Amino acid sequence: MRNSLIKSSLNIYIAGYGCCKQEIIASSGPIYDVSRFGVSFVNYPENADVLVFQGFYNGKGLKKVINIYEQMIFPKWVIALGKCALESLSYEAEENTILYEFKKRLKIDVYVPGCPPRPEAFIYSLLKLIEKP
Amino acid sequence: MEFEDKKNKNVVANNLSENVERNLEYYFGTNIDSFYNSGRDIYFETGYEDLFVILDGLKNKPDFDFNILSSVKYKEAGNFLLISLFSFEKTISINIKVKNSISFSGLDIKNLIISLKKLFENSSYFSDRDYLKDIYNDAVIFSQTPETLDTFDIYLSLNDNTIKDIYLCDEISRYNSRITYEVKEINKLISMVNNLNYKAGIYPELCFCLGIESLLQIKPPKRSTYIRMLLCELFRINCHLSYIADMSLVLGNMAAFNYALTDKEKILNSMEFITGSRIIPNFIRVGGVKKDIEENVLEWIFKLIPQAYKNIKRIEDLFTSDVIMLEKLRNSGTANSKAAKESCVTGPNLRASGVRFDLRKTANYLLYKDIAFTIPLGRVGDSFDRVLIRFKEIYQSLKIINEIIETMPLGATSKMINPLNLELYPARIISAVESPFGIFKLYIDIKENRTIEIIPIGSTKNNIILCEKTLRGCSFDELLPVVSSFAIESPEMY
Amino acid sequence: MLILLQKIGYIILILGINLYVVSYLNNKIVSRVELRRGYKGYKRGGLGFPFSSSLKYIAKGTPFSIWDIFIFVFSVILWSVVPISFNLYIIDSEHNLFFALVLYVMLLIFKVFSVSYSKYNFIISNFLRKTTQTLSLLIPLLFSVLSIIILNKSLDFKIIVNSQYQVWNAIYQPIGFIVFFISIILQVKLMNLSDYNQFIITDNIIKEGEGISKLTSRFSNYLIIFFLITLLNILYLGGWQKLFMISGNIMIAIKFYVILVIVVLLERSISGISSINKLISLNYKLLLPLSIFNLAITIVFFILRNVYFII
Repeated sequence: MRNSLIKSSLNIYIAGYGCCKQEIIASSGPIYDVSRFGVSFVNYPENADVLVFQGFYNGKGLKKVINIYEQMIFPKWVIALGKCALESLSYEAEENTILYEFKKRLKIDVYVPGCPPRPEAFIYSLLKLIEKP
Repeated sequence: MEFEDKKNKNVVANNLSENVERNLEYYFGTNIDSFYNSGRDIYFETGYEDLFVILDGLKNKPDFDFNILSSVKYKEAGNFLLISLFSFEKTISINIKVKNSISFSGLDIKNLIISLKKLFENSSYFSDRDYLKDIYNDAVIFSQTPETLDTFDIYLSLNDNTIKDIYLCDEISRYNSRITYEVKEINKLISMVNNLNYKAGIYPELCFCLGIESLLQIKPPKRSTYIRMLLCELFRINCHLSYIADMSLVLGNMAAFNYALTDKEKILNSMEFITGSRIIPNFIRVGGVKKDIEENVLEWIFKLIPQAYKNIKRIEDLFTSDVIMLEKLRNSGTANSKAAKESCVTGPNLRASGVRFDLRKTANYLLYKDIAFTIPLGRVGDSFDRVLIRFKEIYQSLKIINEIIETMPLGATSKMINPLNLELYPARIISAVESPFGIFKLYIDIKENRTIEIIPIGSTKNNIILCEKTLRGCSFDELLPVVSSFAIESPEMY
Repeated sequence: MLILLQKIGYIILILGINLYVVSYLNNKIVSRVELRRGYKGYKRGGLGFPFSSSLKYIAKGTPFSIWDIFIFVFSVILWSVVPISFNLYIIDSEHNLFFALVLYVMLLIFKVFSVSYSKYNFIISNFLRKTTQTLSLLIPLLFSVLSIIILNKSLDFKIIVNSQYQVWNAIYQPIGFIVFFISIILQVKLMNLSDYNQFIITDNIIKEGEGISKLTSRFSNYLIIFFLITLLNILYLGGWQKLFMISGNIMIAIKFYVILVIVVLLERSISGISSINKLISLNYKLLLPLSIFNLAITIVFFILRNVYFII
């Protein structure tokens, strides 16, 4: 009941920089309109429900993403978007590295392949999230 | 007598790089190795001991007069150090690489950059500046979602709502921008190069292919150069429209944001018709272009041009008629032509300050000499000029596309080159291209074991230098619009 | 006693329906200006959007402070003094206009205190600046209200409305009407009502807050808009006067919604205000001299009519 209330108007926080971000911003334009599903973009992690993980990262960038994820309030979801993000997640990480900690703490719900994924793919992944019980 | 003097001047002006080459041989002939002259970029190597003698001579002697330091690029874990100088009167840049006879440690490079400060002022910006995070500690703004503000953090020291000092920290966006591939996999390299400047999708590919074509002395057919020019101008319009969308987002005008995104979709559709993808084209090859364009696509683009002109004119009227946006942009963040030249900024940021320098006119690459277009200039150099000049460049690009489609020649689209049969001898080259963010250069190193290595040299560091200089003394409310008007982005900052 | 309860019920019903309709209209009008569709909903259309977007603030924890209770109570008590129609008010005295303005100023001051519990110090200083801007926007508003009091010679809403049975006050005082209208638009702009695309931190300041405090701030913002537009109706546009055959209550609804649509559209036509300088120059160089000029002219006419009997 509570989850369905939250999912009817989601808040999205985009972390990182890269090519995939252009397609997300294009999806918030009037042609691929994402706000007709009630979705809006925010800039504070405390108000966010969904974290979008895309683009290029080095060690300090990953630390920031872990920081942001821990500031978000339960219930929360994570979408991994783009080929660069999926590549770093698909291999096993050695211990005592930041990637190992990152994989331990974050739980990812949706994986979206593409380089970059089209705006329709991003909207489709959001709808899959909303339908999931 | 006057007629003869003018004749001599023209002859001298066309052979400036040859004059510089002759002077270099005369003064420093014994200390220079592996020389390469590509018209507007001169490259050579020296040893670690002879560096300062050469730099002193290049700056102070009247024959040379290269007094602006444009970039210092070093990699600690690979013994690589490259210094490049520039002069605006001659429009030539000199790139000096230090040879690998001595292995560098971090301390050697830091001492070198500190000692460079006696000759050039800008050298302190290229060293390690992370100690400033503890000093400029009054306010910290972390990276945010709009695309002009997401690759750096801002550290400020304030004095009651005016900015005393500022440090744009790019520790998030430092990564190993160094690519090596084998010669036979050169087409894979072309698809990987685009990560270096992901917004301007085609310019890194073009830079790489132009460099190898100048090495091998290959001249691609005429139709392929026209197709390359068409794609260049389409990507330029795309970049400028996304800049306009981000600026209207930062300033708070949501109508202009949405109008810019609709106009961007039409251009992305035309790019998709030609190349097959919207952002990373992977279309240019050594010796030409991957595929041919059909007639329907050219007619579709030809009909699109007057509509695009009207729509973008409507967005410009929104910017110039909104009183509150003008108040935020006008007379804030003014950069003189002198300050822009000292920090060696290139691209639309330089032209907004009033300096006329465009690689499409000075270095004749890609048959731009057959097409008529002008270069717009700004008057004052404030952030309103930087926004307006992007509109003017879009109109010029539409004019160029119009003329390209009308005079497109028939013929082949590529010289069929099999990368398995390529024989490249060891050499080092630098090639440059005018991208919508500045001049984008690539250092290409072909080694003896048949591998190619690429290191990018971009223009974002120079934008950071100019941004920090203009923001000292401004009020805090002007911070975000001014910083986002400089368009500091791309991950090859380090 | 029963009549009192009936009146309270009618007031709450009308306010509730207006809240729902206005939040729905705001979403649709703003999105049409930007060539979008607005909230269409995944399964059942966009009719449940105001409920879901407001209840969502409670779904994730409920921190609140004492000031939220004050804001909620004061924004509702306003409507005991301001009449929506000719008999829908609770306190009947001759000085209703004065009470309404006092309650409005106290509401704005309470909104300042509610942000002092925020985590980010930077936001407090910026929020204080913005509320002082809203309070400074009240000064030309008060001058124009003063000129109407002098025109109609009373502080009572009923007398003001009844004296407009032939000609509306907006024709006698066009300058005051324009000043009032512009200050409404600027106050609505500072509230940042549309929830869409708030990307930048420094402009997102007024929407700070979690849980119930965010709900109350949004609730009070809408009720402030209603209050200002009904004031405009009553003081300048004739309130609940009849127009040929159409009854007074229907005229109120028509005037209210026409002015609301115009305010929302004009608010979207200017970009976000984030610095004081432009507001100060607009306020003190344009609005304040105009309202003082208006006041001076009404005083001159008042003296000539009632003291010297010339006009």
